[in-house]
Parts: sequence; C-alpha cells; structure tokens
Amino acid sequence: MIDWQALQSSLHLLGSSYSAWLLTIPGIALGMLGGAIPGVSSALILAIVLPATLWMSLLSSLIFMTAIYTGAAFGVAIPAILMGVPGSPAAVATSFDGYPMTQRGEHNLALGLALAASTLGHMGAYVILFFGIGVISHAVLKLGPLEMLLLMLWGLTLIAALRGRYVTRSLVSGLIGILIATIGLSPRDVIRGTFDLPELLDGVPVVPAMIGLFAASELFNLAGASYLVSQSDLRTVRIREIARGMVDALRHPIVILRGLVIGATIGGLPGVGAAVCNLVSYAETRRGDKHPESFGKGNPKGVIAAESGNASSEAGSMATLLALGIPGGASSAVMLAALSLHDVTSGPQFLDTSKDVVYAIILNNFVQGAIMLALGLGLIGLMANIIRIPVRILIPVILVLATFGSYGLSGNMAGPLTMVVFGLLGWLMQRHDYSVPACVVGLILGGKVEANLLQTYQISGGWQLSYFAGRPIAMVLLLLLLFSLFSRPIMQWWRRRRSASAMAL
Amino acid sequence: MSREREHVPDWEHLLFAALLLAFIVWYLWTAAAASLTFSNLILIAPVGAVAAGLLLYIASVEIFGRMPATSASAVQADSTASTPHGRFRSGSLATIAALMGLFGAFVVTIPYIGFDVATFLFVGATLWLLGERNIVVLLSLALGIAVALSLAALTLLTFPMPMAVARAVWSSL
Amino acid sequence: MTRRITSKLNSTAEREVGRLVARRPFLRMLAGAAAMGGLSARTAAAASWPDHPITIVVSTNAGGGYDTMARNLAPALSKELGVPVNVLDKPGGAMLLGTKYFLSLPHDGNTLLVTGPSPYWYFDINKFHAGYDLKDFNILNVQWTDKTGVFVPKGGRFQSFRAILDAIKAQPGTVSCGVVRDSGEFFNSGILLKSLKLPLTAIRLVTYEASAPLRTALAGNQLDFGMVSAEASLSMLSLIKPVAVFSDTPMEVLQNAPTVNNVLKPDGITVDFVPSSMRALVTYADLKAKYPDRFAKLHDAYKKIIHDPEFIAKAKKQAIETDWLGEKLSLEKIKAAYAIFDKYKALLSAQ
Repeated sequence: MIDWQALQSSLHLLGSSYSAWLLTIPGIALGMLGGAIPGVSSALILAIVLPATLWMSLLSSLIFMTAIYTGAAFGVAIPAILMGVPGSPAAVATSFDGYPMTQRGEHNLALGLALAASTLGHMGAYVILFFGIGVISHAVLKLGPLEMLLLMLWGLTLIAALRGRYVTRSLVSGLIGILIATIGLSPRDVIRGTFDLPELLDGVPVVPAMIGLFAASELFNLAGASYLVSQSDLRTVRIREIARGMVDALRHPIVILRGLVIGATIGGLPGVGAAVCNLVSYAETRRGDKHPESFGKGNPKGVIAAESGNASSEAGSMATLLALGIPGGASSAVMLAALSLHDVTSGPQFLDTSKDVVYAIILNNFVQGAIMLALGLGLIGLMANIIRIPVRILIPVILVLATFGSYGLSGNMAGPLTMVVFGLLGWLMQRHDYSVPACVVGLILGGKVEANLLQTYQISGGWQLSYFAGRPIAMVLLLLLLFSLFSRPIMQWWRRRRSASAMAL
Repeated sequence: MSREREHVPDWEHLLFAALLLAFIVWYLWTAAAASLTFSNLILIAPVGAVAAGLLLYIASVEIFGRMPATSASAVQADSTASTPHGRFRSGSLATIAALMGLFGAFVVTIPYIGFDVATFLFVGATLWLLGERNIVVLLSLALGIAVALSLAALTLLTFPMPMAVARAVWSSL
Repeated sequence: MTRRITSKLNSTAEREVGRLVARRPFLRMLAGAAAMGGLSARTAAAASWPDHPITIVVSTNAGGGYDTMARNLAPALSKELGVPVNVLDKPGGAMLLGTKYFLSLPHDGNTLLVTGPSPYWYFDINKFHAGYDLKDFNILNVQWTDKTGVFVPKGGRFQSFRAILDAIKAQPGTVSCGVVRDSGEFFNSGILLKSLKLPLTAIRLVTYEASAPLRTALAGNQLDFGMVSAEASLSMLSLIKPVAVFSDTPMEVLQNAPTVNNVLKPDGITVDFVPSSMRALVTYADLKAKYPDRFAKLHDAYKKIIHDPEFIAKAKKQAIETDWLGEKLSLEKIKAAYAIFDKYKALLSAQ
C-alpha cells in the first residue's frame, strides 16, 4: 500500500523545496479570499495563476494550485453562512443551515464549525488518499454508466429530502432544474432550447445560474433590512466563539467521517465535484438523523456535514487526476494544463514514475490543513465583519462582484445575463414556495443523469437484461439507493404498526 | 365548525405556475421538433410530463381549494390560501422590484456603456434606493468600487471586459 | 477622435478598443494575462511590428491536445517575435465559441487561433450553423494530425481487430464501441460498418462527450472496444491495447498495430477514413492582403520554429507532432476530409 522508498524521496523533495512551502500560505489565502467572492470560483483563480506556474517547479506549481483549491473549498462557505449566498455550488448545502444560524446571531459559531469541518474533512481525505490512491483510482475505473446513473439518482433523491412546505412544488422545482440542465447540445448533438444563441450550446452556465437563484432569494429579500443580523448586540465578531465552534465540530465525528468518505470516494468521479459531495453529505446526514426536520433551520450538523463533504472532494479529484490523468472538473482541468506546462504527460504512468511527487503533494496537503486552521481563524475574524456592514452597501457590492466573477470565467455576457434571469426566477420561486435548492440540485445533476442514462441505453444494446445481470456493483448501488429512499418511511410504517398493535392489546 | 374554508385562489401563484408550464411545453415542443428520437427525449419527455402533471395538479388545488382532509397532518402540511407568501422578506415589493430592475439594467448595459461606468451608476443608484442619503458616502463608494473592480478586470482577467474610460486611462498611466 | 464604445455586442466593443489601440502604436498595453505569465510585460514602443503581446486563442479547454500544442508553441514564438505570447482558452460548442471569438477580434495579426478545422469546423458549419466558413480563415499549417486508433481494454473480451469484426458479423448488436460525439471516429465507425455492408445497429455505439471519459471507460473494461484519437491515448497504454489504426501505415508509438485496411485485406474491402483531429495554427483570411508584412513575419517565424530540431525534440517529449504542411497542403487535406464527411453526411442525423 505505501511505497516507503517513494515516501522517503518525497520527504527529501519537500525538505529541499523552499518555494513549495513559501507558496502554500499565499495559495491558501488567495483561495479563501477568492472563494469568498460569490461567482469567483477556484477554477477562475486557478486559470488566472496558470501562466505564473510556468516559472515554478512542477512540485511548487501543484502545491500552489492545491493550496488555492483547499483555501477556496472553505472560502466559499463564508458568504454562504453570512449571507446565504454560496461562493460557489460547493457551498450550497452549507447555506441551508449556516445562514439561519447567522440570522440568529450565531454566525461566529457557524464559521467555526465550517472551518473545523472543512479542515478535518480535507486532511482526513488526504489520509485516505495516502493509503489508497491506487485503490481509489482503480475503483473509479470500475464504474460504468449504469453505476454512475445510480449514483446520480441517489443525489437526485435529495430533491425529495429538500422539500419546503409543499412536496409537489419542490418536485416541480427539481424537475424544472433538470430540464434547464439539458438545454444546449444533447449527448447526441441535438440542439435544444438555445434560442439560436451559440453561447448556450454548452448549456446554461451553472455557477451564474446558482448565484442568481440564491442571490435573489436572499439579497433581494434583504432590501429593507439594515443589517444581516437584526439584533445589534449579536452583531459582533468574537474569535472566542469562532474557536468554540471549531471545538464543537469535534463533537460530531461521525458526521465529519461520513462527509469525508463521501468526498474522497465519489469526489474523484469525473463530473462529480465538490457541489455534489456537499449536497450528498448533507442529505445523508439529515436522512440518518433522529430529527431531520431540524435541518434547514440552523442545525450545526448540517454545516459540518456540508463542509466536510465539500472539502474532502479535493482529495478525491486529485486521486483521479494524478493516478489516471483524468480531470474531474474545471479546477482539475487547469491543473492538468499546469502538468503539461511542465512537460508532464499525466496518466497512469505518472503515478508509477513520479510517486514521490504525488506523496509530496499529499503530505503537503496535510500541513495545508493545519495552516488553514490558523489562517482561517484570522481571515474569518476579518471577513465576518461583513455583518457589520450595512446591507444597503453589501447588496450592490456583492452583485457587482458576482457579475465580475461570472464574466471572468466565460469571457462573455452569458454569465452575468444568466445571473439576472435566474435571479428573477429564484425570487419568484421563493415567493411561491418552490424550493430553490431543489432546482439547483436538478440543475447540477440533470445533465449528467441524461448523459449516463443515454449511455446505459446504448451500452446495454437497448436495455438488454444480459448487460445488467453482469454488474454486481450496480446491484449494490441500487440496493443502497432503495435503502436510502425507503428506509425511513418503512421504519415509520413499521413503528406505527407496532404501536397500533400494542394499543390494540 | 364548517370543514370548508373560504378559498381565494392566489392569482399571482397561478400566473407563475402557468409560466412554468408554458416553459415545459415550449421546451418539449422545440426539442421534439429538433429530433423526435428516443435518444433525444429519453429523459426530458418523462421529466417534462411529470412536471407538467404536477403543475396542473397544483393549479387545480389553487383554483378549487383542497378536498377536506382526512388526517390532521395532511391539513397542516398542505395549507394553502391563508398563509403568507414566501419567506422572511423585508422591504416593500416596490423596492425589491426596483432593485431587480436596476441589476438587470446594469448587466444589460455593460456592453454599451462599459463595465466601469455601469458599475459606478449601478452602485450609486442602488445605494440611493436602499436608503443611503449621504451624498459624499454614496459617490465615493460608487467611484471607489468602480475603480477597484475595473482595475481588477484590466489586470487579472484574460478576457477584455468592455470599458468606457478605464482602459484608456490605465494604458496612458 | 471619437470614442464610441459599441453599437451592438461585446465583440464590437472589443473591435473598437482594438482599433483604438491599432491607431496608437506607441501605446503600452497591459492585456489581461500578459501581466502574469510569459516574459516581460512591458515592451518598449517600436516602429515595426509586433509591438504588443500576441494572443493565441485555443478553442477548447485547458489540458487537452490543442491547449498543449499552443502552450508548447508560445514560448518559442515569443522568442522569435520578441513579444510576449499568451494562450487564451475559449472552449464551448465544439470549437464554435472560440472560433467566433477569434473572428470578432481585430484582424491585425496580434491574434492567432489553434483549433481543429477537421473535424470540428465541419460540424460547426454544417450542424450548428456557425456562420463562418473555411474561406474566412488562412490556415497557416496543420501541425498535428491525429489518427484514429482502435483500442481494447487489456483483459477485455477481444484482443484483436479481426476478432472484433468477426463478432460483429456473427452476433450483430452485441459488441459495444465507444466514440466521442462530434469526432472523426464517429464518422469512421459509420463508414466502417457501411463498407462491411452492415447496418449501423450492428454495433452498440456508445457516445462520449470527450476522449478522456472514453479512455477511462476503456481502461475500466466497460466497453468491448473504442475508437479514439491515437496519440492522445498514449498515456493510457498500460491499461488499453491498440489493435488497429485508421492510417496508411502502422504507427510505431501504437506498438505497430496493423492498419484497418490491412486487417480487411482478406475480405477484399478498403475503407475510407478521416483523420481524428487536425490541429492547426490559423489566422485571418484577410490578413495577407491587409498586412502582408505581418503575415510574412508570423508565417516565417512559425515555419522556422517547426523546423528547429530543439523545438521538435521538446515537443516530442509531450508527444506533440511537428508536421509542416504549409498553407496549400493543409487546406487540401482539410478539404479532402470534408469531402469524405460530405459523402457520408447521412451519418450526421443517424440515431
């Protein structure tokens, strides 16, 4: 499992590469600050620094980039908690409970929880990576379109879990989200719903759409408020409380562990990124909890689960990137470009020939976790002061920043315009109790569900049973999916029968 | 006590539901027109159909009210007309509408008047709308933010952001 | 000097700005990315061209073959021309967005494009109504032509191309084949079946969005075989095995797997095929007429680089090819590929 020789060599590498260490702290800080601006995702920051990595050694550039990635994984939680506007889709679930906590004046606590969960999730996932990078990457290979479909469906069942007051309306939200996700080129090159705009050929840009949906429901609704936290005595930044939040997170090790495992395993699957892990970890924690109805109202476990899931997905995607040369999403694609800038062809042989570099990255990421705790504490202390800024200043600033961010990645006005359109949609949905998170889930997963559904159809020769019979992993996933969906109602029904029969006695 | 409540349909909601339904119908129609094949419609047809069906159900409930419920929890969970809209909302509808309009105008005009000018105008106008009356604060914030972000756009972004004056000013420095 | 910002679109704005700059050759420009990467960001005013960073637009995303080729070329070009050369990725819509973006910039020689005129532009023009055509461009050179390789998973059901063909004929509809949609392979698979007088349903065609997921599927033994660009798959050779190649001669890097037509010889069949990807450096059609000196400078600098043994060696390390076809031959080859696409146009609307 562990290649001791490579490990030794990696320690030597790390010990002699000062630039790698020098870059770690600015990397994390950059990631955190960038991530905290809604719309500026880690992919954008990485794309901006990519040319600069030409000057760095291979190890330094990879460490710099993973540091940015790590920082951003936590940074996106800050606006999610303080304003209900996630910095990127990776913090959608964090806002579900983080923002209600802020509204109660518990923002310090929430930020502390998020920081601790993020750090522990990140470090824990890299531990798994350290021991199991080969295993994880080979497991990824074993998943065909059917297995991916089942995983995506498992994610979609969140739509059922995320309902607001009306089940029917939330279902509609989610289904419409799925439909919107299919706009653009279909997997078979049929152009659907693009109004003849070439910018929509690749679909509706998800990050601006999500910012629009959330910004609307939160920022617009704050138009008449003076401050994010209405009670002035609660409107403080207390480092001690933040620290208390961090310690509190440790009281829920299972929640952290669950998020960790989810991120490390499925986070590596192409197309499954931090956003999906964030949501799945949240949903699973909620489902397994004794009081699921307390989620969405400021349950600390929600914040912990979401952040742990999102932070650990970095390790997962690094696994597939380094071991297979496959980028899992936009951020890892930029890292792939960095590899090629350094004349490295990534692929399975990279792991064989440069295991020491891989170990060095993993080890450095352990340390990144520790650095993030310290840096994070200081940074949160600074950024939490946002709550002291009057809302009338926050709203235009955040909106302009988000516009900046959504323009930056695509380079055309499609991003900002999408934000406006979805802003309007999100507000209307909120007004009539159509769950916005359900729509976002549909939006994120819809495209992948269709692609995998279609591929399953193709690869099984049109639903030939022989194909399904020979796939044990799919059977296991199907059982897990059914269990997740129906275990609760079945238990409830069983309990009701037992109490009914008890009463009959 | 009468089981039936006075039910007033929420027309705003009905309009919204109708809008969603129209989108679904339009989307399925154009997709089918583009290619009436199994592979094209495999997902969107069932999803669209279920969503449309649900919307029709929701609309009918909105119009006709709910049948008297048999279990208490159902009544609680699905109460309709008498409940207020949406979640916590401060600020009048007019303010919110104006804010949305300003934001829309901001984004749409960027290619025409430049990001720098648009930002300045938007921040200024929004601050005024949301209650900032100190002109000095308003103007300096608007200017400051416009300058800062224009600078960031000019130096960091790989795609040229449309600008009115910022680019020329910057390059002549 | 009037300074109209724009009358219509974002692109028009950029054109206006570009014209403003062109009229002021002594302006020092900090164009976006030039600030960070590349060599010195400030170039002193020069009476001759280039006096301003050059941008290579890549119409696909970071990390792929096109991006790699551009990033490999940029430093060498920079050295030759004496200005920073930056790479800008503008993916979207099967190369359509990047190409359109390129067209919207000033046609003054300060921007180049790395893209795939074959097969992507064919799809863009014929299927996606791109609104541009081959004649809007001047293809300096098709530097890297990739061939379609037929691969099987190591330890998969079939270990030779002959075995695959026999199985397809014996049990049609049971063998799965992976291709990338919008690709030369997509066409090649259809052409192959047609030449064998088999219906398109004889194989289970599984379409993928990009070559990376397809190679992953092959590596994980999800498919019986796959047709994907050969050279870009070299990194996976420990997990997948090449069993044939759509080419006139076998390729050494593909372990000398037989050519498809070689395998089909006993059946007396020869198949047409298109290359997988033709990666080209492109500029504007009107550049030669408008700025003949700039065109000449770009063309000669590029040609010199391609023939430089040091550059060739460096590129080889990343498995990048350095062919020099020149304008005329490049265009001929692209048109030949288009002719084959046209011949089998019906495949475009197949299920």
